[in-house]
Amino acid sequence: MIRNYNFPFKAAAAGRILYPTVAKLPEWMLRPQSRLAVALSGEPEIKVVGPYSEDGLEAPPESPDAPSTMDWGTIISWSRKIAPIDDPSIVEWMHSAHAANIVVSARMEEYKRSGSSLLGASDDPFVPGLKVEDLRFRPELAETVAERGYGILETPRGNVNVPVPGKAAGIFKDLLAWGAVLEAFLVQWTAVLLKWRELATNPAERIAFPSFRGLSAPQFFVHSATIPAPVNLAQFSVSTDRPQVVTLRGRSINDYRDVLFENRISLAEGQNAVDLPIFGFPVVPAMVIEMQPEDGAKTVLDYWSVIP
Amino acid sequence: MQIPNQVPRELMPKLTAMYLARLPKYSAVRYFEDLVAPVREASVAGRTLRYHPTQLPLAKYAAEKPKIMVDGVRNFSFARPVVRLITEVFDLRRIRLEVSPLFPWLGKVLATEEAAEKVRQRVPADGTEIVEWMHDSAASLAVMSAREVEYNKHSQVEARSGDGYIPGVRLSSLAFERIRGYEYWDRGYARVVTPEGMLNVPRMGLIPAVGKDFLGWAFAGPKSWIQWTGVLAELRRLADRITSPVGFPNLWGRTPPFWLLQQPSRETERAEVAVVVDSDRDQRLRVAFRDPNDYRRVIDAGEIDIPKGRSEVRYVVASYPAVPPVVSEMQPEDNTQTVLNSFETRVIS
Repeated sequence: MIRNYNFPFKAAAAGRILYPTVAKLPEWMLRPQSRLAVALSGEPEIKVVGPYSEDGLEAPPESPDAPSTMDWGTIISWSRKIAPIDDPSIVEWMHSAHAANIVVSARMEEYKRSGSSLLGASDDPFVPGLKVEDLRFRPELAETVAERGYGILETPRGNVNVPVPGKAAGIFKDLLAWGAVLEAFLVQWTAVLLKWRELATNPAERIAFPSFRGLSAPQFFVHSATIPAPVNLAQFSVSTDRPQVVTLRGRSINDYRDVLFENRISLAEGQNAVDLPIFGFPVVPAMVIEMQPEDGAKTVLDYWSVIP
Repeated sequence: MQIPNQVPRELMPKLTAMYLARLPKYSAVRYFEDLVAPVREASVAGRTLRYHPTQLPLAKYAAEKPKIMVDGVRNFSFARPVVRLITEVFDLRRIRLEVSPLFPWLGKVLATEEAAEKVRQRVPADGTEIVEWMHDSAASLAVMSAREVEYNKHSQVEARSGDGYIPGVRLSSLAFERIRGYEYWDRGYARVVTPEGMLNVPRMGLIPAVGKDFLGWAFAGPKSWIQWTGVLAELRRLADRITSPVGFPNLWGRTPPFWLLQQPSRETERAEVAVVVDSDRDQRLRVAFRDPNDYRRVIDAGEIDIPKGRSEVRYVVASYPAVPPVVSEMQPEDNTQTVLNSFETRVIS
């Protein structure tokens, strides 16, 4: 089946092959007035409709016995238990990388439920090395990275400096990526890479926000109405284990760096149902929504729907 | 909340300004038609596995004529191949292979054993941070990341290697079951979750994961006590021509198969396939043609004797009402170093 996308399946950048982050577009977005359209958000209306829960989240297929929780402490404790460090071939960074891979794997499965593709991995970028599709961390000694204060996430569109420890998003015209450095020893360090390959459209099922040692990654997906309209109502729900402020940005489908609007939404603990009016000119375009929760919180996007 | 029936008046100046500011930038924007990457589901060991099928960029004439995809496949045949030796010399330095983007200092390398030795020398085990399995894992990642760069010039393959226990190895549609190295070794096989079910991978062995709409492979490699090296690869989209060299990885002697979409550029009853291959020794290359509607079904197969050095192989394929697109599989012998230099399907008029 053939559909319309905002970017090609494959491109070249700086002598390298690039697999852009692509979004499926509705037919009406092909009209000139739609592809040029802009949008602003109105005031959200928020209601707590239930308690925080992690029901309905996915488990990693390679480790069905992994604890079904988003709690980093529980996952890493389990990893230390099944592979204790007293074995000479197990070293400390592997537990963090393993725990991060469990988180990445479950989030990849949830994103796939929405018919799309999020890719990720965690490892030591020095040896054995860490890459995901066309993204990679520069393989350097941990002490080099720690002294400098950042690891280098290399993409065909440019590099992103990721603090040690810390996180950084790589937002380029046609590429959405995220990297984190969890720790650095002398030789080895642990990093995480995420890449959104094909964006989900109006996800109807639960997607948790990946979180590693308290560092929360954003989620990206497409807001798309069924027909072109000057006003949309985004109805969505976010569950959180503690009160927090979530940053929500609408980004242009033509260039992800182009932020159309930004909104900060205060959520209470529990399941928050949000109604957010979005106004467009001449219509509300299909656009990429970025949602960034606070670090240290467990956050789940329950659903995102659009009227009309 | 009731959906507002119009844009608030106070927002209009800002929206208009935003619109005008973007006019010059986005008025030339164009969108792209492409294959949808649908997520499909398979039931594996009582659980649902969601996976991305291997896509075929079919030529328009084939995609629009179901008769070619059905009758063409049924009537497909290939004639005896003709092999012409170009040179007896096999020299990796003279072949335009890529180096690993992660470990460029390794140079051109097809075999993991060679890469592992170099990694071991450069980053010796220290017993506290660097331990044995990491050399093997880095070596396989080095070999596979270079092959990815080569294949991805034409289409897309994704590979990953690592310790199958922790941190674990998985791709979007394939994953090694987490198991300790000594269990894997004593039992004699590792297990991999694939869209075709759980497959057993013999120790130091490689198995293709061929499903109705999925192509990939898994290799279970050397082990230390708890750790072992697993390598996975999945084809996201097949290339329909090769114009620059693509090496076959040699993973501790095991060589995985290579898949391409073999399709003429236009509708024809006969086509000629021209392939240029480098091999480090005489070998028998196995070829198979798989049904584009169901990759598990082999519609024809054969073997081609390739001498050491560079050779050109030509064979004719024919069918009625037209030569269909087929998945062409090439399987070199184990313990060889083989490079596919070019692959092209030409219409015979």
